[in-house]
Amino acid sequence: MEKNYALKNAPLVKILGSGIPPIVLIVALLAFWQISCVVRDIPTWMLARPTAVGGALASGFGALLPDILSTYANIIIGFALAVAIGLAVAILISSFSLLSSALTPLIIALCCIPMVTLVPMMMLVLGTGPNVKIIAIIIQAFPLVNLNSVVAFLNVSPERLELMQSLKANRVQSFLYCVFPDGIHGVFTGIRLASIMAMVTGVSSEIIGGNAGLGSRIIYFINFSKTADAFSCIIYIAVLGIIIYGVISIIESRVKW
Amino acid sequence: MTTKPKSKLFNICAPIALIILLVIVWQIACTAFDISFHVLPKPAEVGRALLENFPRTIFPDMMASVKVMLAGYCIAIPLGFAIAAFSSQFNLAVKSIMPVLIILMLTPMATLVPIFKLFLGVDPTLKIIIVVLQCTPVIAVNSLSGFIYVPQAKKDLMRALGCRKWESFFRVTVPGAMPQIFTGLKLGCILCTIAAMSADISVGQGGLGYRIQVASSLSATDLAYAAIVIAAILGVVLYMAVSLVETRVITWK
Amino acid sequence: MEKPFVTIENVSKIFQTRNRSSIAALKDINMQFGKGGFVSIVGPSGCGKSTIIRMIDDIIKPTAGAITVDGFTYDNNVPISKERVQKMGFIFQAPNLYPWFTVKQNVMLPLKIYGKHSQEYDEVADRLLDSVNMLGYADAYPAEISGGMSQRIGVIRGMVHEPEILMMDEPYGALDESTREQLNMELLKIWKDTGMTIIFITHNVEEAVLLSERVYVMESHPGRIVAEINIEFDQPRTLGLLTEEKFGRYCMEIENLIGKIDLSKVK
Repeated sequence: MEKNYALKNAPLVKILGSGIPPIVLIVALLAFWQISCVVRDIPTWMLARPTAVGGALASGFGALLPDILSTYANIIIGFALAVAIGLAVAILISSFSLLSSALTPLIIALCCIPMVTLVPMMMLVLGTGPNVKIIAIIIQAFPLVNLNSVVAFLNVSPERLELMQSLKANRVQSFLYCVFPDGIHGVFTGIRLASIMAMVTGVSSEIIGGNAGLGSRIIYFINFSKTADAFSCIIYIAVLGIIIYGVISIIESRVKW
Repeated sequence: MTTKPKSKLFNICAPIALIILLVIVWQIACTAFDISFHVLPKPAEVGRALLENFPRTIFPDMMASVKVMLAGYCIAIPLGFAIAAFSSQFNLAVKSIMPVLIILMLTPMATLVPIFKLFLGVDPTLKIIIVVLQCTPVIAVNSLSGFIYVPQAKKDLMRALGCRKWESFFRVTVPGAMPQIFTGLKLGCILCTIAAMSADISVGQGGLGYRIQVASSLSATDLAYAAIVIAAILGVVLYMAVSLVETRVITWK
Repeated sequence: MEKPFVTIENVSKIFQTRNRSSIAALKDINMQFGKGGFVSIVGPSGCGKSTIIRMIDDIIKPTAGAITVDGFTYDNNVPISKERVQKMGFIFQAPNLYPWFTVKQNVMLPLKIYGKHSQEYDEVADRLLDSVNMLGYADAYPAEISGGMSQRIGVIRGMVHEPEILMMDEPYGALDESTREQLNMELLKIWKDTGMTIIFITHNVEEAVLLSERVYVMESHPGRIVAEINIEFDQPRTLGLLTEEKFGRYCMEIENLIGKIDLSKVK
């Protein structure tokens, strides 16, 4: 993975500060949606109107709460474990060149393999509990943390590393005082990208094999033509994405260098 | 923290050796612990299922998935690029569209499959639409942030040379944003594979994801794993193709 | 200068380039100087002056030859011990401060790595910060101070563990003339106070003559020493020397040595 300045340069804090244009855009889109539903007389079971979705958000919250919590917990746990594993493996790989040569291509391959395909298989072994989803999230998300961190750790500024060599710092000291802080932005880029994978994989595995969680509720609501409730599930999922992304941005904004 | 560069041959051999080792461990573990066929088939059984079913089921499924992936990806690239290029020209557009794109990027489009089914039934274009929706935001977000951060000195130079706005965009902004554009394209191709597979699984009507679903419900685990292997290979090949183009395009790094 | 403290014997360095060809960076370097001395190495850029001090500091290994410091000899195979390294200080061309540490933490970094945490060393750091008028900035971050200030911090970080020998790699190269003169005077004062041995790399001939007791002049392709000139001025030295006729003669002599090399290379 390249160093990704892309996502780094759009911290949520800044976005919230200048929140008016996007809010105006979103309101305009919602108004357009509402008006076209009304004007073209689209049946509500086919496409819910924003007002109906708003109503569903308010009235359905209590009933949906267990599913919201289950989805949020699975994704947050899986994502947190993915970050921890990705970072740990990155530290190992960047320290030993043999590991780097052998593992890096496999880790790249791992993040290109759609883990959702393994969900039905894993459910045969592990049942329908949250474990399958968490494992799928970990496997899909950790490579991005890993690859970005390894690139960051191996591309430490040579002058900064030379100071460590000059002081004959040992591996641990050199990593703690120099390599890790120097590569922290690369690590954050990886974490940010992994959050996208965690969201996509977590929700897709709920849709494919869930008996709990917002993904499975969407299917349920559609089967009963409760389109507005299905949309409210999507909004709860989007909110989780914004929360995760926002927390990452806030933590990263405390890194001042 | 220094990693000595190893020879090219070593870099190719090490992962292959590791894969072979893993397959052997898998085979031995299945035999030694007497793992049930329904839980985890032996690699040899998966290989046999792959060969036996390749012409009849796996190949048509593979082609169906490839068609969805490529069609979706090829629509998403120009679409994401166009959104980014358009909004980069207006400050207000950047401010308003960027957050919306980030929200879209974070929302799994698989959630829309059941809803779209209401309009489109099980039409094959549904899968392509899902892939496009999943890939476009990430491509647009990355390209857009590449377009925004062009050094002012370069823009000034183009203006001083009397270039038109679009000329300056294609000669300075786009090449400068190439690394970010490719980050978006690589993420897009990963998401494209995931979206295509989950669309297969939840829409049905052919494709590797569908085959995995059907095989696992019939307890034909060897066939399911064979399809997973092919899906994995598709994902890796697409990623490698994009990386190859990247090394050809970005020669200055 | 009395008995030799630092001896460099027939040291050569050959670098391997990426396409497997080799470049002779240094050829048969010999140097010898006593404890408490101040020597400078001047030469055109790319002549390998920085490589010499990196070999003394054991950052780069010599391809051939050996280096002896304070009676301990090390070479390509024999590394220098951590205890010995603690008697050396290295000051980089750029300040090379870590932006994630405060000014004080940057200064204390060598002590942290050498495991010296006592109150006494904390006071050493404060005293050094005070000596360059930076005590008020102890808790500032490197991004918040100017380039001259950063360089001062880089210099005192190199000497906070009280080394016996200090290597300086064009430490003031990027600074403006007046800041540089001021820092040079500070350096002379520190040298007098501590009695350290200083090896100073520069491409500025006047700076070398002003500061050092001996100047080594180098030539490039391959890097080698072409002259060794003792500078005889009374201590303590002041900026007043710059106007003396003898000072001008030294500078002229060294510049001619470097100039001759450059002209011969043009052909």
